[in-house]
Amino acid sequence: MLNEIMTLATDVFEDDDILPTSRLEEAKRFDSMNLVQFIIELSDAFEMDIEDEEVEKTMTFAELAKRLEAKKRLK
Amino acid sequence: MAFIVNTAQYLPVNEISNDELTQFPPKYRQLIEEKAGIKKRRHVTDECTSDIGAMAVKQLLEKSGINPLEIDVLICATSSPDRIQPATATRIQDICGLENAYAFDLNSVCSGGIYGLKIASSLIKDGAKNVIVVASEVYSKLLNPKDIATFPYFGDGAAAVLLSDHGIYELNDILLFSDGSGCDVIQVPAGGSMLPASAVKKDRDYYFSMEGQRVYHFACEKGSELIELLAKRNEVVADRIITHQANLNIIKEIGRRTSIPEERFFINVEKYANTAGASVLIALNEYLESEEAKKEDHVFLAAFGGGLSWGGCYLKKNM
Repeated sequence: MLNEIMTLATDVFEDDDILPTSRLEEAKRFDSMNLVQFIIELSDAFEMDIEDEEVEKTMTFAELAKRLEAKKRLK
Repeated sequence: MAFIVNTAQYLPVNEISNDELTQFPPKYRQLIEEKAGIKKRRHVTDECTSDIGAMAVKQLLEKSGINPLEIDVLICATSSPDRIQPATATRIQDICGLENAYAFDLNSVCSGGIYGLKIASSLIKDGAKNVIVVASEVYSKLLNPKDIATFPYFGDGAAAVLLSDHGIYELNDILLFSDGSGCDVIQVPAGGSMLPASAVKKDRDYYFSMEGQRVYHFACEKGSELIELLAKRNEVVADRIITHQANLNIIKEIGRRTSIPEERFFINVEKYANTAGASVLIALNEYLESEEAKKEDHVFLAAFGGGLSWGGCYLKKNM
């Protein structure tokens, strides 16, 4: 899941330099609407409802992957 | 001196409300109005930039009662041209029968309308009798329809202005600025010589993109500075301020920073969204057709956008 998240993030935030350890808000074109776009694309890619509160701008992409993996397991 | 003789506009008939943007989940559609004060926008169906630009020019000619053969110059301000070449202005010239004019494009993105007025003003001073500036934009075809960060915030539209050495508003002071260090902030990456079609790896590169936060701060800063500079240089208090119509919150913030009440700003962004280079001239046309314009004498225009570029203008009613 982390690889897919990184691919989506690179695309949405137009940033080839982000790493799994980067915080979301550190991405080059991070802003509130790009974050919404990222959540929409995550929801589509993983076929799950993702609430805004589950994707915090201060978390790293690796932490986000762990959270979404856990959610998927519970589903 | 150069004067505005008349103005006109053309907006495509196809009106799309936020609720009709069904590609986005309902809970996010309401964000569009919260973030930018935008309720709807117009989109072309089959038309291109020159088609709607020509509609605005035709209306201008009719409204002004001027023969197309009397037009000396046609300037098209656009950042969404029909094609990379030739100039979109040349097709508008052909459609409108401006046989004695020469026609060319300029691209200063959302500041394009003001840049057009400056060039037109210089050409009038240089001896041209009748110059038309048409600002025409079709952003609906530059935007990724699935990108909620850009698609809802733009619309299509065109406005045209006739300038001559006499008219209703004198172009009293026109200021232009640019800062090329921000040339990547607002862009359509692919299709030019920097990233030709043969080198494109991601479809996203064909679409418009911008750094939203940086654009917001730039627009608030430069919009405020322009208005204060025009007031200081001309020692005048504007009756009406017409800024680039990108986002209601930007206009409100400019009002807060300049201590000018919101009521003195002309606002139509809720109807048309951001029509880029056309927006300030569409707003000018709607203002000049309003009752308020009859009672007011001093108008400031201010626009800001890709480049980064910005520009302002003081229009003084010709008594």
